[in-house]
Parts: sequence; structure tokens; C-alpha cells
Amino acid sequence: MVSRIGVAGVVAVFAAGIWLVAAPFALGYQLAGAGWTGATKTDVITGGLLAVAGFAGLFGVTIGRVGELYADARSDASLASTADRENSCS
Amino acid sequence: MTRYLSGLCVAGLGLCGGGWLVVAAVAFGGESAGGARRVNLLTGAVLIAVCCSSLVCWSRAWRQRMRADGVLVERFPLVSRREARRNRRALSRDVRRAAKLAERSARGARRAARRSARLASGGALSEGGVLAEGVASAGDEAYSAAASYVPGANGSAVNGANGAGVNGVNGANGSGPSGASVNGAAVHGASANGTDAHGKGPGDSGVNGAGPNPGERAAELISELRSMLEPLLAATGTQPELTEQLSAVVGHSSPAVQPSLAGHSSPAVQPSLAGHSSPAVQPSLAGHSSPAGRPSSPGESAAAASPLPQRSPFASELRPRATAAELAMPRRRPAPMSIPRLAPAVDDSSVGPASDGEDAWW
Repeated sequence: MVSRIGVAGVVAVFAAGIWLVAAPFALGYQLAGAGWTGATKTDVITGGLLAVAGFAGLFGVTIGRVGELYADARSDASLASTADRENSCS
Repeated sequence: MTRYLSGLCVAGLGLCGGGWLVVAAVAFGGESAGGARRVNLLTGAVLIAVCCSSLVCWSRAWRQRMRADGVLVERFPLVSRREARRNRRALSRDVRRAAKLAERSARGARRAARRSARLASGGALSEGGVLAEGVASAGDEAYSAAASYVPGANGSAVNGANGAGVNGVNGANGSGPSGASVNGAAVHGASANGTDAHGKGPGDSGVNGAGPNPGERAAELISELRSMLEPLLAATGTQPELTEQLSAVVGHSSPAVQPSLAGHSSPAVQPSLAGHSSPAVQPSLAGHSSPAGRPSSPGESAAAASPLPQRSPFASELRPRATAAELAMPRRRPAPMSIPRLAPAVDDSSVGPASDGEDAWW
């Protein structure tokens, strides 16, 4: 449960970054063809960083979870092989 | 660990970004960016909240994982003040109770020690081993020393400490010149021996060691005394008090009676044995170098005819060391354990002067 909330937070960060990048154009306070205002620059840069960070975070979380699953599978397999060896010996 | 670190890093970065958005909207917003300012404020606030919760969640998840792996130990459970006060009271109550119990048990132990010491010092006749290991009294030493004179006959034959008593009885059985006085002396000797001959006198010379079963020994000795004294008393028939005393001695089984017997162990008891003239005894008597060594006179015998005859200080030297009856008695093996001597050892094989214990007694 806790991990899911954490993953949701990472996803929210990624979504906030996307939102910050798209907000000046979506809300219209950045006119098309005109130079970017300071607010637009701030939102795009911050949103871009947050989106990248969120994506990296999602990637890292996924990789970490997959790695744990692989490790668990390996330990289960080793335990099972040990038990099989003991059973065959006995 | 990777995902926790990634989540924590993303949450931290989102927190920083949200804070930056809020700060930028407030500090650098300007008058022209009304819509952008609101968007930045709202986005920044939401990011801060989300990232804070995400940080908490990721940190808790990581801690749970570390606790499950055994890396992180269980936290000490926090106790409320009320619970702590309750625990403190219970603890102090338990300590008081334990202290009270300990004090009670210590008191009981002291009482038991006193009781056992009293029993040991009282020298209970009935209890096994007391006859042989009782506390020596003053008048005891003469008897014990006498027992050490002829260890082959007296000491070892009659079980050490009681050898004196048997001596007295045997002496009475012997052909004494004054029958009545000898009888009285013998009976008193027996009673006195019953009380104090069990002591470890200086001259006791280890003959009266604690046997393997002192209780049986004592009972056996008492029965022997009775068997020897009964025909004697029946023959004289003039001293019922002595019979009572004998029965009291024989019937003793409680230490409470001991003091009354100990009273008989005064030096006044022993000289009544002086009237002996048994042939078996004569050599040992002749060897004595006591200045007052002399056979008892008829006057002394008459004096000894009283129920509680007074004994003279020289009587123990004249007391027979061995009689035919004693020599005929089955010898008992000396005790396997050695009893520490209170006085220098006396050459038991030589019939001569009194032992150191007896000398000290006089």
C-alpha cells in the first residue's frame, strides 16, 4: 500500500511536469508566435525537469521492483533446489 | 533498494520543483502574468503536498523492508506516562515484597541455626552421634582421660566416649570392697557418663570417634548399662533413687533432659569409683603416679552410699581402667574418622600418670 502511494507520488510528479510544460500553451497566457515570457520559461523548464525526474523515477521504481521479483525468484529456486536435494539424500 | 531510492529522489525533486514554482510565482510573477501566477501557485502547492506524502510513503516502505530483512531492529515501544507510573508502582511493590520475603527467610534461617546450635551444645542423648560428639563439659575431661588410659580395654571396647561410664559400671560389678558405695558410684558414673562422657575431653585420644551410626551405638551402650546395672541394683536393693536415676538416664531421649544429667557430671561423681579393687584394674592403678593415689577407705565408701555420692578429686586416678568384664566385652572398631585432639596425645600403651586432660582437670 505504501509503495503504491509512493508510486502514485512519482506518477504525480511526472504528470505535474507534463502539466507545467503544457500549461502556458493550454491556458493561453503564452501567445503563439510571440517570444516566451518569463512565466512560460519557468513553467516549461520546471515542468520539463519534473517530467524527466518523474519518468526516471517511474523507470527506477519499475526496475527496482522487477529486480526484487527476480531476486525473490532466485531465492525461491535455490531454496526449492536445496529442499529437493535434501529429499533426494534422505 | 533501487526503487526506494528512485522514489525518494523523485519525491525530493518534486518537492524542490513545487517550492520553486511557489517562490517564482510570488517573487517573480509580476503584474502581467496573472494566469501563469495562479497556475504556478496551484501546481507548486499540489506538488509540495504530493511530494511530501510520497517522501513519507517511500521512507516507510523502505523501513518496512529493512525491518523485514532484519537490517533494522524493532523500535523500543513507547510507554505512556500513566503506564510508566503503573509499571513503576508495580516494580516497587514487587521489590518490597521480595525484600520482605528475603528478610523472613533470613530470620527463619537464623532461628534454625540457633536451634541447631542449641541442640548441638545441649548434646542430646537421644540423637545419634551426640554421645560421641557432644560438647565436652568440665567434668568430662576426667572421664575421657580415663578412657584414654587403657585404650585397648576401655576406649575401644566401649565405644570411646562412653567408656568411662562403662568403666564405672564395670567397676561396680567388680569386687569392690564397699558394695554400697561402689554401687552408688557406679550408677552415678553411668549417669554422669551418659551426659558428659560423650564429650571430647583432652585426654580422649580419639578413641570415641563418631562411629558410622552413633545413635545405635548410644542405644546399645545404654542397654548394656542397664543390663549391667539392673542385677547390681537388685542385689543391693537399698537405693531406689538410683534406680530412678538409672531409668531416667536410660529413658532419656530428648535434649531437654540433658542439663539435669549434666549436673551429675560434676567432679563429685567420679571418685566413687575409687572403691574398686578388681584384680584386672590393679595394675593400672598401681602405675599411677598421683600423689594422692590411694584406695578408698571404708569411710569414703560410706560417704558414697548416699544417693548422690561426693567424689574426691583423686578418685579418678584410682578408678579401674579395665575390668574383666570390659575385656570380655566385644570390642568395637574405632571410628574411621579422626577426631581432633584437644590436648597432646597420651601414650595409651603405658599405664602411668594421668593424661594431660586429667591433669588439667585437677
